[in-house]
Amino acid sequence: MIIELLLAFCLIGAVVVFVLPDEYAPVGALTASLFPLVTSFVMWFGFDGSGNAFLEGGQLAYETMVQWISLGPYAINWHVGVDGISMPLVVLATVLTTLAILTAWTPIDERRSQFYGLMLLLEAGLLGVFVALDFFAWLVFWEVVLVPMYMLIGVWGGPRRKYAAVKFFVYTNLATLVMFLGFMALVFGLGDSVSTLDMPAITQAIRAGELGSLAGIAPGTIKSVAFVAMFAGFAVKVPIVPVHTWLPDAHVEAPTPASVMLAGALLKMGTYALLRFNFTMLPDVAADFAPFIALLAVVSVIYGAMLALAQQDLKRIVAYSSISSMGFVILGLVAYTEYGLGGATFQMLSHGLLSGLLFACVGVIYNTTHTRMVGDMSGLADRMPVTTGMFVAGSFGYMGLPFMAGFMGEYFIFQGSFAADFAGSMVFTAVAMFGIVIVAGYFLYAMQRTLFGEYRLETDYTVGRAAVHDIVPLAVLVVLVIVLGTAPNIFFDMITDAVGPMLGGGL
Amino acid sequence: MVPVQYYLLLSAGLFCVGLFGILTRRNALVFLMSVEIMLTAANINFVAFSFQHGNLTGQVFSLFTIALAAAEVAVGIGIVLVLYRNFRGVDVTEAATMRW
Amino acid sequence: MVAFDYAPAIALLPFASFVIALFAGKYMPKRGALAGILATGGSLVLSIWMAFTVAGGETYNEELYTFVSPEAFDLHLGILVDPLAALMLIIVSLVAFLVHIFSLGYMNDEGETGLPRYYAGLGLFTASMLGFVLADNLFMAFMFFEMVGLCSWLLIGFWFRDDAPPSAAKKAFLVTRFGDYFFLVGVVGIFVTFSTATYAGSESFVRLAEEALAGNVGAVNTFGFEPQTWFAILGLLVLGGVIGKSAQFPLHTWLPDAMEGPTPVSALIHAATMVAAGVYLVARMYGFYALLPTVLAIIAFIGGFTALFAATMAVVKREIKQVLAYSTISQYGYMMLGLGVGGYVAATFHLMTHAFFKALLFLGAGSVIIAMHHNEDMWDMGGLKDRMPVTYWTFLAGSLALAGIFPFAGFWSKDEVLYEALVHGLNDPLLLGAYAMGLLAVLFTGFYTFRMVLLTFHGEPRSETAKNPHGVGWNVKLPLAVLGALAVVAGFINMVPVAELTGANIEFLHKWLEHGITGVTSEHYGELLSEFAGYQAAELSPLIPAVVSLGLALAGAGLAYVLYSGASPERHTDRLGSIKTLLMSNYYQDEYQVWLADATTRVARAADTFDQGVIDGVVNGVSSVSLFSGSRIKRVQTGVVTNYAALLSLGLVALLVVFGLLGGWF
Repeated sequence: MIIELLLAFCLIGAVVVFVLPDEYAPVGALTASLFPLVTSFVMWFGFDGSGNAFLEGGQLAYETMVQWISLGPYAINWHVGVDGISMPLVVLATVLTTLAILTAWTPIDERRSQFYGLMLLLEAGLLGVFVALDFFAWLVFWEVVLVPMYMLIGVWGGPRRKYAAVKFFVYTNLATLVMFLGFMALVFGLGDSVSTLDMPAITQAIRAGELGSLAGIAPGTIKSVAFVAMFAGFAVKVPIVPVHTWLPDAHVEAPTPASVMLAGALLKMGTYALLRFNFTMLPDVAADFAPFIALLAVVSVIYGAMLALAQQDLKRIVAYSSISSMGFVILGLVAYTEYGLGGATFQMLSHGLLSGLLFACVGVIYNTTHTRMVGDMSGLADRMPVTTGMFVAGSFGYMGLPFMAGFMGEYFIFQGSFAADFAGSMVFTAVAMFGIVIVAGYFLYAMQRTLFGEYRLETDYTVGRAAVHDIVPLAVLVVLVIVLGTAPNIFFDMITDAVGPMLGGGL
Repeated sequence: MVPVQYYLLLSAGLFCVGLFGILTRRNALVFLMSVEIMLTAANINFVAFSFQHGNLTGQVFSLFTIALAAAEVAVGIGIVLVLYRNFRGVDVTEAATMRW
Repeated sequence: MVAFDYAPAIALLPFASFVIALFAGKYMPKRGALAGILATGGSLVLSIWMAFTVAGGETYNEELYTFVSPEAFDLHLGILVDPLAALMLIIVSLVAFLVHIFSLGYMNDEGETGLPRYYAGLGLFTASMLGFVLADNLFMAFMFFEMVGLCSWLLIGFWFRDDAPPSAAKKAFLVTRFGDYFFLVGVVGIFVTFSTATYAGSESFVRLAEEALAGNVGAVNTFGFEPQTWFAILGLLVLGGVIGKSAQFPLHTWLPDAMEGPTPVSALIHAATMVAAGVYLVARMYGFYALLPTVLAIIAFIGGFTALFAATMAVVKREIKQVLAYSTISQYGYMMLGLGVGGYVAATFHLMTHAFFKALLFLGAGSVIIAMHHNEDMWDMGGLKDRMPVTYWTFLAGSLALAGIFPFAGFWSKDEVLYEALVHGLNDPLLLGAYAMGLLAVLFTGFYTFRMVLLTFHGEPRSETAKNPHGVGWNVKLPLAVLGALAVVAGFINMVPVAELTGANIEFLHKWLEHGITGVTSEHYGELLSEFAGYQAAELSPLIPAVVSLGLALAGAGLAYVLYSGASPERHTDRLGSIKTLLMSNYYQDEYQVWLADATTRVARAADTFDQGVIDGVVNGVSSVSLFSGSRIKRVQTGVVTNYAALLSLGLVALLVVFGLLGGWF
């Protein structure tokens, strides 16, 4: 029941905050977001699941399974639960939402109650994606997420907000359509062997080889086509080069809290879905396509980093570096080893925290200076020492400084993919690793230009220290990143427990 | 007993008259009348089939339709009046502002 | 042993001082300095205790904290204390301790701001280096290696309000990061090859490599390569990190720029942390390198070349710290040379003596800089000998050691490195070439060292500040005195030529490094070198090479004396003409690296244009096409009710026809 409680807290919170008067909205939203936060921590501490939710022998924590709708031959259930892969992501989503609400206090000054209400609705959607195990419910949550994000960008965004919002919505929604067709091909291919849209049941049936032919197409072809369709669909969400161009636009136009949620949690939906669908349901096809996917991952890493190197807008730099970092996640997934898959999941967490931290830092700088361009300011360390410290910590975390979460995630991935089974894994890994040099290049450049040197920024007001409620989310994130980097086992144990069973069959 | 086909033919004929009126005339009042004729065609169908099947449901429906037609005329005349007020005439092709 | 229970504290104490200085520094009387001094002092005491315990024949090799350990690979923090580590611990903590004291004079007394940040950086720097030294596996070593890089960035860029320090910090981090990339690939490679990365013990990767080469491949996965080839690749990858951090050619360019940092930081970077880390890493896993003759030859050659290359550049520099920076590069070249030719003990010896005399020289230079009101140009100095005697005499001791003049510390260690190079070189012409370069560098070293001393301290003052230098306090003089004494006597622990001559048993460092954990002793390395690398030492008395190198050093010093000893020396380097320009421009090494960075940026810009134009262009193109076709098709909506009705009827008719055709009505 606790999962329903979690979702209910978000939804009720969203409704309540939506009708609150504007001046009470920030505090109200913060309070409302604490309920799911505490609930998720209670879930985490009481977590007793083992194995993988989608595979046989997986013991789910907090599972609920009731018949919901009956649709033709298919029963749609309300089936939710968490395992070692989704539990950390649930915690990530609740933590990030609370912090993102805090980062909204300064920059959002109109239509506040609507803004915070949408943030909580977004949280509900995100949590739903991570806990739902029935395809119907999952798809509903998957789509629900788009709506608040579309509005957050389109209403409170920058000058080109409409373009960015529409681009984000249409691009990702179109991708969902492609993915949906792919998945439905699998469902229909299974024919009578499954009578629900329950994803674990479907996964197990596919892995047991029950896929039949559909309209004269052989099961092998269906699998390949479905894999490609789902991969293409999720790739947009991740995003993988070359379907990444919505991301920088969305980030640049989005208000800071929306950026934090977008980079921190929304992108993880893509990799989470890839892990759950493509790599859990169709591991054998994944193995066939492995070198190709690895190539895409490497291109994402290097090309994304190169693009970041060319940017002058701090937010664009972080946005492009997200593409680079998510490329590492794909590399870990395709490696299909314990360290690779576990590292990919861990990297989702660490990237969520780190990119959230950096976007929040850029937001704080923007609140004060009203510019994000590298060339417009210098020497901010002089006026905003604490923010600078946080920005430095975040940047070095992103560069993969040891004892911070980013290093651990990336190291696990490298370790896992260096000796993966597909051809050329060693070369792919070594090339992708060069990303850590480029990432250092652009962050060091950006820091040197904006934070250091003589203080120079023309404003008609005094630039001073940021408010405490601006600094708190940064500090919390820095602490979390360091804790996770020093004691990765607090999550890595349950993650490897959940990815372990994936390695058994298929490959 | 008159076979049902004749009723249907009558109804189809009325319907075509109504359709013809809608497609060719520009006066809103004629429009309204044409719609009424088409509704009558439907009513005849209802009644004919009701008679054919020995079931009163169709006739009940035709009563509903007549009531609906009356209401429609009330609303329709209102629209025509607004049309007249705004466009100084009852030509339906004049009122083409609700396009692309 | 109870002593080893306190081993983690050696690194944790400076870490605590980092935390204290960072969060409470601004409320403390000396802004965090006292915490740092106490912490590094504590580390020093503990390190000495470790050394005594190790001297008693005990060693320690334990796992302390496991990050994660699923399946095969075990990522953990552990501690390895053996004679080599114990020696290094003392060096690092001693130098760090003295640097903290010196900072009181250099930073606090000069009224710097941001001191909590400074002392926090120093504390973290020391902690990272000590953690690196204590590491029992390569993974942990890499982690601290990176932390050392971070600290160098923080401290080199300490004066962030100027333009040059942040830029130098960026360069230092980026260049070493480039090297660390190879190191990281190497670490990952070693993990997947051996499933472990521990240095010592029967399950260590060093031992597994040895067994694999002896024919017992076992569980070692060499990915289809010959073990010899694959191990050489791994060795070279790790060497990439070493070259970056130890500032060897071609990744040495960051180090002279790093002089932008406060001088005590330079002392710490050059003598005991960061730069020493690279060489220490090779020494630490020497059992692995000793198996690979190709890699050893490369190490020796890079070392010899760097020694000569950097020494030539030091000849023409104007700033005192620049001369010292290039001398550092050169001296680390000697250490690499020593390691490459199989002189493990000799290189370690030089690492130790260099730590003392280079820390001394930097602190001495710092003292001069305080006196000169932060003017570093040697041509503005002169005549400081009489005005600051403590600095002068200690600096002179350090210079004599650096130049390798008998009987100062540097003489013994450098001579032993060259001796090892020669005896192994006689059987291997490649190593002989490395030796020749190292030997030639001695001449240059003698020259630039004494040029520096003469210009700074002798002759007449050449500027107003040099006439009335700023006085320095006890906190500057004390570290100088301690290090000055060490620069004189540190060489006596390993007087190989004397031992050879008299037959006395006084090669203490050789004895020290001979015992320890099985498989990580100098004795074992010797066996490996002759068995796997085919190194054979020629029979040769150490006296003749010693005399040769001393003669060269004296010749260089003498030449400097002839040229620069007058009351107001001339700028003789101007006579070198275009060679001087070449040397002043550092052989255009910076230029090509800057060019590389610029080229990368240009490629990045091109990629950005491509991304905006082509990839995003396609996306926007799809949307434009949809919008355009929409704008055309929407014309169907005429707004005329009659048209809608017509379309409706037509549609209905069309549907009826289609259904009719399909349903077979006709």
